[in-house]
Amino acid sequence: MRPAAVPPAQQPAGGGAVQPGHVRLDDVEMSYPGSDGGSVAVERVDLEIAHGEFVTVVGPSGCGKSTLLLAIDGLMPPTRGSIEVGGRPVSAPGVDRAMVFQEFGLLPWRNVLANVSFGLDLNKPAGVDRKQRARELVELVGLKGYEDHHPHQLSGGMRQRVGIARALAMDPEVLLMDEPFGALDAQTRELMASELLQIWSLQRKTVVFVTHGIDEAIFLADRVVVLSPGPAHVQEVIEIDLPRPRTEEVRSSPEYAAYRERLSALLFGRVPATPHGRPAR
Amino acid sequence: MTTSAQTASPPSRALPGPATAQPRASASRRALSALLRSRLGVGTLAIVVAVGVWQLVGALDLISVEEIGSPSGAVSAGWELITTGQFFTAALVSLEGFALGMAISVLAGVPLGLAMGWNTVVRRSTEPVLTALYVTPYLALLPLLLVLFGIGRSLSVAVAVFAAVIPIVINVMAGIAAVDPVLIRVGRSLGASPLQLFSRVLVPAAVPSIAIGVRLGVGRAILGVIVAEMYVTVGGLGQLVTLYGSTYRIDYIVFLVLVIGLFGYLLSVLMAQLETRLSKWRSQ
Repeated sequence: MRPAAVPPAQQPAGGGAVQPGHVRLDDVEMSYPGSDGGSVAVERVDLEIAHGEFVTVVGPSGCGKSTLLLAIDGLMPPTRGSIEVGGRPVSAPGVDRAMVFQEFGLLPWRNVLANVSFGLDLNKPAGVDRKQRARELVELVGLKGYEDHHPHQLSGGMRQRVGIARALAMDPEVLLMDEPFGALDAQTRELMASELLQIWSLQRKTVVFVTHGIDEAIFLADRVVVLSPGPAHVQEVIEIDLPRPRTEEVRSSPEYAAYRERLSALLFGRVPATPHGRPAR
Repeated sequence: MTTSAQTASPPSRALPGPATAQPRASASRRALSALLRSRLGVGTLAIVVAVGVWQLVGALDLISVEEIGSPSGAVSAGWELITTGQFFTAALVSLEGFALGMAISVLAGVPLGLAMGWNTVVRRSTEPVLTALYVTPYLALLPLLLVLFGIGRSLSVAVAVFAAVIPIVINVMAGIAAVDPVLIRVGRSLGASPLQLFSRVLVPAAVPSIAIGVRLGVGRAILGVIVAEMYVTVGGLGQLVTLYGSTYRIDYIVFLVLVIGLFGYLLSVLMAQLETRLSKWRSQ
């Protein structure tokens, strides 16, 4: 459908026709309030993500990756800078963005179908048959037949399928995924990654996917954003020029290995990309 | 040596006599162990044994029947109370006080607990008072309540409310406060308004805690009503207990206490079942 890994055209800011799923972070700083004047989790992040692009964000744990997602979702306002989605400034959660959480966040008293339709039940979008939409998405994520099950009756992988279906049910422009497969075992994680790509090929959304898995980051992404240790800033953005649709074979290609080596060096390398762990500016 | 021992032993085990006797013995043993395994069976057995011992102790005059009463005495006392209509008149009064007290406690306690769990200002302003009331024996408040409500049915209702409302409030509050913050984040992310967050996430998540609070409240409301009736003449089973106590008629007291206990037991079993049903989704 789309040529693989086209770098996002640096659309001129202020240009009238901004595509719906376009995400723009401009000089974003985020800090948590504290007794000692607070701690900065994210500083000076500039990032543009094109409509329909799959971007993964990696960085050492606790570096502020998830904080960045919360900001794009509108759950936590940046202390400085601005965020725009589809040309509109983000100030609160909105129907154009939906989040998938590492802890799944399913409502345990609701069954699968009711969990998937939860966002629709809250927003009651006009002209949408909520039950019907929920059924379609349950089927899309491969849970047909489990509509009446409750979360405690499902495996971790199945629970996250529900979480993905719930987010997609909102038909968002941007899908924000906060280490969505982090709580799953390795085998399930790889399977879920493949299926996510399949779903993404059917429902082209902009995806911002936070992970600390290098393999996951390469396998999924058009571009990998590497964050530095906290306070996080963009250390490097790597374009992943691997053919789509991606299958498991891609993992054994020499290009894949090269990306892997490069990312490892950036994240855990003996030679730090920036001396003393401080941003070189 | 070992071979001879091995060949010698089987015949003695295979004797026809014990082989036919054994199944009968193990059948009764199996019945007993089945009885011991079933909760109802053990409970019933324990009661039968206790009643038997009680009757026996009195009959053998180990302890004076005057002091401990006897099961047969309690039965005839109960029969008398029932046939004269005394029992039902009093039970109705107590039941009414209990039901009213419970209704008020739930209607006031659940919303207050929800508000306290939801809003820190409400919590901080009410929690100290509630904690103080929780550890205050409500009997100590009886004189005050007497002045406020006068001698009448409303007094036993008031005592029941004072007894029951606090565990309800505290459990509901704790239930709301313990809601997984991820669920709140999910609700907000999906665009829930504060009211929706409350009604669609917090309250359903707190339902099991609400059920626990109500169950604890039931026990304390029963206690509150009976105690109020015992100390202040407002009728009811509590008054009958005081009445027969003052004339030292143990059998009557025993009957009344057993009835009250049975009522409380059945109600708490019922509540526990309701609780299990409401928190089925909790089993993770």
